[in-house]
Amino acid sequence: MLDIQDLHVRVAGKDILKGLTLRVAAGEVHAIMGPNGAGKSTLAHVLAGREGYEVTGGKVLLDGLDLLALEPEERAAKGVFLAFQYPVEIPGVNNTYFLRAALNAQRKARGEPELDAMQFLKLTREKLKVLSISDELLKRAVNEGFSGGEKKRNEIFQMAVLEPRLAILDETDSGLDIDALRIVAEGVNRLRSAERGFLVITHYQRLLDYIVPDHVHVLADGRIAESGDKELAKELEAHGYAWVKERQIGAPA
Amino acid sequence: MSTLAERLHAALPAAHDGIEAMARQRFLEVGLPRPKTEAWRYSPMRALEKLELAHDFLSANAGAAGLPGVVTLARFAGGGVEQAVIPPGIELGGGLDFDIDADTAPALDPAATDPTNAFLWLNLAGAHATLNLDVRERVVGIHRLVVHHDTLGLAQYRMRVRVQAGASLTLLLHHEGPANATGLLNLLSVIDIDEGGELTLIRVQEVGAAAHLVERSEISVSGGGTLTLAGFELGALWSRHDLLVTLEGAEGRLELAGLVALGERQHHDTRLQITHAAGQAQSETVWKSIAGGRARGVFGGRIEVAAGADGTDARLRTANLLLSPHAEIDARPELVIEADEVQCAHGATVGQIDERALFYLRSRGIPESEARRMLTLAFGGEVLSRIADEALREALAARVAAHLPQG
Repeated sequence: MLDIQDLHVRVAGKDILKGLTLRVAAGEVHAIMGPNGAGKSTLAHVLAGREGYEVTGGKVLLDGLDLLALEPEERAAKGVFLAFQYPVEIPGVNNTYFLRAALNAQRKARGEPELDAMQFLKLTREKLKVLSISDELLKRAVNEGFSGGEKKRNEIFQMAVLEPRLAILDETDSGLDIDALRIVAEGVNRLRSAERGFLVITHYQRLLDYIVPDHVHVLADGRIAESGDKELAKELEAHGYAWVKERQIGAPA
Repeated sequence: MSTLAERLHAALPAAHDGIEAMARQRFLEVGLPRPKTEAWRYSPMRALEKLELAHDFLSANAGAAGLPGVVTLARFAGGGVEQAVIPPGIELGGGLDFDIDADTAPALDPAATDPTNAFLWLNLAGAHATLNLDVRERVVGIHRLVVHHDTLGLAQYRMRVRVQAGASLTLLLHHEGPANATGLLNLLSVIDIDEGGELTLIRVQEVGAAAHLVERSEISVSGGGTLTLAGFELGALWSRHDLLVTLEGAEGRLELAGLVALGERQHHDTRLQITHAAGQAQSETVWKSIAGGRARGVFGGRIEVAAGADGTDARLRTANLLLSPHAEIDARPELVIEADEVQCAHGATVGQIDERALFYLRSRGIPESEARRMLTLAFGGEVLSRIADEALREALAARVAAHLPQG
């Protein structure tokens, strides 16, 4: 489904990703772990289409389509969703209005009929409950005055409504206490399906106790340094990221 | 070719009394603002100089679509004024000759207010129609005065609104008109709010895109009186609004909010002056401007706290959004404080669309142009939210959205 081939990315004149290769099949959850500055967030932003990232080599295919050639909104319509590490506050734009506009824009781009206010309300009702989001939060401006936990729950709620093909979670666990983490993880787990792939980017192993990945990759110095199953995350937790480096240095050439 | 002043003079209707004849003379003596006239520095007369000022009004037409839940009191159009529905509690008079010597109308005398202002003398020299609105009770509902800008030449109107002690009114001043009205409309409004009176003023300026407008509003608020203003400056090619508000007594209260949306080659200049003449009064102002295309917006917001006006609480904030590298906004908040015990604050910001917010919306599937629109409209949301009536607020939001520049 997602096929990243030898991706090189430069930010402000500095090489951040240096030949990253990764395949995610539909139905799989891949965790991307790594130390600060390894390029985790860069990968998330490049996939979503944020400006300021220069792709100097390689390619990214989503269901065979050249993802890097598309505008951010086109990628969204093709099923890319990024849960932001720092969701943006947008004063004056109502949360419900925004999400319905987003869903209808995607549906329109895909040639599907748009939903009216009643249909949309029906769709959101059930998903709100799972994430313990109150109606009151939906009536406010997008993320404005939300607590850290509310912002992250709102991201997962948007994901639940937009039903993406590829969901990218960028440090969704950062700033969450254990209760909020559980709620968010529960929301994500409910969205796991054979049709959907996940890239779960995290610095800590803790999130992966709740969202159990099929594959774990360690991103170091701009490329995948190590891949394994969920046990790899636990080893990392026990030994730290320095351990990966040592293993690489110690490995036969 | 004759000068602009000569052409304006020639465009006046025949003088029919000594005051008008005197005002004509004064107009010529005072002369139009010169490039170095400080008060008009940002709105030079250059833009008006090519006006031909034909003696024509466009044939009557319906103008802008109505607004929901609003009762129209009267309509200026074609050089006259028509009265419509007059509810109980309001007295309406038209065709008044203001006697500038009488105590009742000193504010209409340019010699007493702003003797160097040529447009005031011009208005006095020959207004086509005048209207006097006297509010005697607490009037329920939203009432509208329409100013239909339909001239190819010069049109001048005057209106006077008085909200008596303890009375209240929500008044929608609606300026509108056809797209092919190229002339100059020169308006003067004098509004008095007596003790404990309340006026909620909603001003919607959406005259045609080729129109020119010079307007002066002088508002005085007596002790315990309240003025709430939500102003929307959307139309006209070239417009200037002098808005002068004076708090004359203790416990007076002002809540002013303005939204200016300019695109293409529109020019708009608001000069707001708030005078705290008496102490223990409050004013809170937020003025927002959006400019795209090659538009130019000017906002001068000046608060004056007179000597002895202790206990004044005055706040003014202006925020400005530039949508294009060729647009320009000049915002100048000013504070002049001559009293001792006051709380005053002012601030100004100028910025562009927040790129982080833009990416956030796009990443959810909203196309860039739509995302820009949403963020631009959201910028004005603070002013729209001042409209208490939901149906009217939504109708005005749609008008604002339709006028928003596209970058």
